[in-house]
Amino acid sequence: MTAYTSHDEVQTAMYNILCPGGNVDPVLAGLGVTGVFDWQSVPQNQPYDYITIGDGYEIPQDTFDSAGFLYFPTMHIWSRQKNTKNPSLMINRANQFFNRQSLELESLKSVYSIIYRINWLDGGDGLTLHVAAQYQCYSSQT
Amino acid sequence: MAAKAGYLAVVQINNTTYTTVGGLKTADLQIGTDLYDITTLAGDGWKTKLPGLADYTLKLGGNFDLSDAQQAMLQAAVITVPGLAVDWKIYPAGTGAGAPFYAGTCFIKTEGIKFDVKNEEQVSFDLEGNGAITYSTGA
Repeated sequence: MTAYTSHDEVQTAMYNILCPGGNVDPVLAGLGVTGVFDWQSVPQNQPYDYITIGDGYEIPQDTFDSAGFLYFPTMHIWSRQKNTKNPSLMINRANQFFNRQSLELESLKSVYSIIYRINWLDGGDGLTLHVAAQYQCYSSQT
Repeated sequence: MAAKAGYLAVVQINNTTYTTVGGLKTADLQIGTDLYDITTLAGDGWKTKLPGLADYTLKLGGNFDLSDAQQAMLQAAVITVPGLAVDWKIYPAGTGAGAPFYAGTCFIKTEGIKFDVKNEEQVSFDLEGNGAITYSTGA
């Protein structure tokens, strides 16, 4: 049974791009990213910086003859680097993957993926920068 | 009477056979009759009217997709053969056996295509009736 949501397919595509073959994209790794995780599966004592995915929200965009989904996944960068130079380059790399692109989805047709907004936030502990990059991904069944 | 969900609607045009137009999100059918004001000066303060000719318009909107043969035909009826008459049907609650439908023949007055860097490409067709609109059941 096909799920009436694009959540899993988009999240899987994002992970496969950020972490091809289970290894962090070499450019992101060169900028200091040590891992990409589902938000609820970050290992204890995981070294910074790392990326979490897995959350987002979705708005149905059906046509009369087909299901469609407008999905807004958020990619989170958790960084303890001294300034925002490398996190900015991480965002740049992510935008190469997810802005003005089509995603490789398992069963849905990806119409587009574009950047929606980026929040630069206090990570809450006085040490960590939290960059939340939200993308807008439109996909349909046909 | 219970309300009906809008997603049940099916819009078809006669492209050799009646075939569903893909990618549509909205279909807006407006049916009416011209009414002429024939109020006399000696009236009682209320307008009086004389019905004139009946007419209708149909506005279709959705995702722009010329790989859909029916959308391509609608565009062709504006660009390739301007003024080509298009037969259409709208089933308010799906195409099951005995399902009621509206039907008619239209000319396409306007095709609108919207390109927005932040959204999917969208199309709209404004159609104007040529002759009567019918509402019937089945077939």
